[in-house]
Amino acid sequence: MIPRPHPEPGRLVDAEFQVLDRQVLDRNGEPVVTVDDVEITDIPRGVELDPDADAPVIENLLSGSAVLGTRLFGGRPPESRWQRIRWSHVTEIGTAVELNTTADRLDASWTERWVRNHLIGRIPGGRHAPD
Amino acid sequence: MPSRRALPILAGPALAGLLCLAGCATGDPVDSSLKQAAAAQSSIVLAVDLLGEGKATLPATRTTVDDALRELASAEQSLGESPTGRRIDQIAALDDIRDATDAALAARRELDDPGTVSRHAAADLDDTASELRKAATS
Amino acid sequence: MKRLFAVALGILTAIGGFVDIGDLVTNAVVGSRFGLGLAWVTVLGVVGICLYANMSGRVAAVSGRATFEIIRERLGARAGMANLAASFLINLMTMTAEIGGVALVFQLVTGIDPLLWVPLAAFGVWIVVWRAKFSALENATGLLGLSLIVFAVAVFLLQPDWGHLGMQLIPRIPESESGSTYWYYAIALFGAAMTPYEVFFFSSGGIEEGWTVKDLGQTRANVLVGFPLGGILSIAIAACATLVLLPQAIDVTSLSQVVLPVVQAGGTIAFGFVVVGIAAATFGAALETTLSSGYTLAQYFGWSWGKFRRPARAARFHLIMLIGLVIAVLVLLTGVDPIAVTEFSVVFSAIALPLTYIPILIVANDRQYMGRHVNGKLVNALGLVFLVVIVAASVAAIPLMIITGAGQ
Repeated sequence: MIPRPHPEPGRLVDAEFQVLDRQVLDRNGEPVVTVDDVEITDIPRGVELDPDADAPVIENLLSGSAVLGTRLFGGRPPESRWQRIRWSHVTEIGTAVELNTTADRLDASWTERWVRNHLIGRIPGGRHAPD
Repeated sequence: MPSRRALPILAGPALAGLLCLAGCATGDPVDSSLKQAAAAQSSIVLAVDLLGEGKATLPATRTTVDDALRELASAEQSLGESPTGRRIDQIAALDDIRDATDAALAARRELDDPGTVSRHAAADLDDTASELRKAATS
Repeated sequence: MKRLFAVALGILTAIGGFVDIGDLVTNAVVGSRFGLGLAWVTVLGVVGICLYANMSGRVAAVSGRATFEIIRERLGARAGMANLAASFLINLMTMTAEIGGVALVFQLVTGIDPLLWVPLAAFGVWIVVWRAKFSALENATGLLGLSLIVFAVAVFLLQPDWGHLGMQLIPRIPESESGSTYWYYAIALFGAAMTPYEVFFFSSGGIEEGWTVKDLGQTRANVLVGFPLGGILSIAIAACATLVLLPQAIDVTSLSQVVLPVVQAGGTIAFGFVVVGIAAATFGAALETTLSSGYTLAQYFGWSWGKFRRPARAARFHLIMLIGLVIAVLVLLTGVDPIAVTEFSVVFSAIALPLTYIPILIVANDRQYMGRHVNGKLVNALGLVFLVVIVAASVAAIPLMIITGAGQ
């Protein structure tokens, strides 16, 4: 059942097939995270979906252990635990989701930066390319 | 569209591991212990022969004997622990395994000093090995 | 000329890299208890791994995506997570077995207790993963692993009755064994030949080395020539045990026994070759399983991964491998017999095979990833046949393990 085209210009994507569980790459092709969930404009809860309503709009990509955990087991994590990637950063949706910014600028990759700064970066040779 | 149901595979291996630990002693315990001990002692005989022919190195021979001694100990232990109605056979088997272990230990000491196995020790190894083999197949 | 050299190197590396501690131990055990009556399983396993590696390599080269990224995309987060959990644990078990194997070889050469070698072996694995270039690591261990050819040489030196040996190839169950142990070891041998980590490693390795569609021909050659020759080496290991250990009823339970036939055939020189070969093969496999543990976890969660990146740019990837190595060392330091860990790891590998095989089969047929390089009709036909075999082996493994008490 295809919704009526949204009054604003944009692309219709199937969230399940084309966005969820896709690899997110930054502008240098470095992996950032996998899309664990998406945040979309409000769909009224507890109310039957109106078949004539506009298709919801994706606001953000979500990731993080709390998000993934509830995706696997159900539930809804508190919004403070969500790691968002703003949809405005997305440039391309193909076999991977590509962004217009670098991984280090994103909230979602904070664990990578933490491990880099506190552990791996401290071991000799960690910051050099392999021989 | 491919099925997205989760595959229940973790339960299987976990269960297998538990059941294995519980029921790992299958078959006749006397026979299987004798077979295990006979195999171990035979491998010592072979290793010592190869050392005598100059084909094997001393550290490798020592390792082989150590590994076999572990198997002999394991065979003795599982035989001693398992309940069996054949008390006389069990005692005879334990005697054979202990004789073999003594011969193996003597050979092991000789490997440390002087680094070769005497003809006497080698003969002991042969005798105990064939005793075990006879008992295992009887 | 340079092209020929590259092809030859690839094939030789595949041969030397085919054998790991699982193949060594399982083939020797089988040879000492069943003669060559299970050699057909090795043949079947080689055909299977050729098919499997070919498909996963093609998927990597054409789609530019590695196995676990695709598993999550195609099967979803839940199925992907179940797959990841099982694959990661079994991979960890195999990694532990391989590091234990390296320690055992050093014991064989020096006589010094293997527990002292375990931390050194693990450190060696880590330092190579940390610093060495991917291709250097592959080539060195693969070429040195060719030393294992001494097993084939030993078969000739033992001057067997070839007619009698040939007769042994006919599948039959020896009197000293039962039908259930026969089929249990058939599954173990199958799992030893078709190791799952091989797939993760092969496809992620393809991305590490930047394979494209142009490299498909070479990867096909590596697989189709290298792996069967590796399979022949496996059968040679079994044949050595059959010729020397089976007649004396010596069931293989330790690595020291695996090399006895080679020593009998060729003395200390042959011994030298075999320990170099075993050390290289197990060390190489330890590297591969360690990298696979990193690849699987990083690809599922979408982390940055790869040896082509500086460790600082793939921090969580390296952290996972470090943790895995520490766990392996701790497990081995409890004194558990690495041979026992090996024997369990091959059977559990067989149990886990469908988890990785089915997604690869699905993706290799998906035009969105593969374009015009989807599976041809022949590959699909073979693929389906093997799917049946793999599922049958996986399902039968646990009941047989219970019935036979893990092969006793």
